[in-house]
Amino acid sequence: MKYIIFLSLGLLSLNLHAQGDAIEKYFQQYIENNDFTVVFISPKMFQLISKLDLNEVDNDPEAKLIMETVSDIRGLRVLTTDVNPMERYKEAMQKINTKEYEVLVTVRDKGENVRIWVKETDSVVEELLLLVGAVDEFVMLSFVGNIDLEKISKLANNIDVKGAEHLEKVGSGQD
Amino acid sequence: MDHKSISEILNKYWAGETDLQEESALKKYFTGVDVHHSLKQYRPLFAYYLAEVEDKPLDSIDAAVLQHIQYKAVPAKTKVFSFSKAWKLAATVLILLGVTTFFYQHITEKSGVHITYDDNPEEAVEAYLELKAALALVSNKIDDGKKEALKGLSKTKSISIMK
Repeated sequence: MKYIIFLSLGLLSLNLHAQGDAIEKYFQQYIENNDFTVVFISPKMFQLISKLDLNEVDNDPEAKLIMETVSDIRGLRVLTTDVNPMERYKEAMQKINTKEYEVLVTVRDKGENVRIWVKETDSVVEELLLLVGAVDEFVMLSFVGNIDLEKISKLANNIDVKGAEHLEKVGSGQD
Repeated sequence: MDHKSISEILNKYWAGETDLQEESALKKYFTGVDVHHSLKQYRPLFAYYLAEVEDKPLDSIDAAVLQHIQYKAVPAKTKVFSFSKAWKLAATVLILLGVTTFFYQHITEKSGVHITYDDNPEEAVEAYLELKAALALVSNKIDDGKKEALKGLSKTKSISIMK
């Protein structure tokens, strides 16, 4: 009997911890699911990245800006699936705590729904959350840390990424 | 024989001391027509007893007894094959086969990619590229949002926007 009590308390405390990050809870839910591709970059890895010698790694002229942007980011989580993407999108939308997160961007373009939220504390963006819901794809992305929106938006025009299919779909125009 | 003599023989009979001749006499008397009224009560009894002794030879007793023993032919129940158990076994095997096949498929099937980049320096470049793609996506969408906003605003005649 005692064992059951301790166990449920333990599980409860786990849940309480996850409450602070509804998205983390969502991630946890799908981390075991084979329909999903899950990528996690830890704070430790971010440190390792910041130590990379750019000249060897990336010819992209934006590389420097990228590194600057990244310097204060602690973590990245990405979830994608092509199984029931629109349902996943709706599900994820419902789980966003709108008291904590503020909508930054909403785009509806060629059958693709995009939302970006930010979680700000004392005018510092602690988290940037992106949701994409399209016919063939669902993406959930979360940057945590000290996020510089200006720097990120600067990246848009010139960034050169191979294999980022999303860019092709939306058909970004160059200003 | 007169009834008084019979009475004496009877007494001997009750004591079990009569010989065959005397018993024969008793039978003769009691199966006859003329039985004294004082002895009439014994008539059915003696008719029965003596008939029993005389008319039923030994082997017919055996026959009589045997008649009452009925041999029921019970076929030897030797179960060679039980169908219900066989079905149960077959069902169990099929279920187990189905379950294991299901799990095997899920194990060997190509599963969704689950990558964690942590403190392995060799993965730093790969992680960097993932990061770059993620940033590209986000900044691109922010840019789209800006464009949409500008489009919306530029439709308003009262506001002039520098394009």
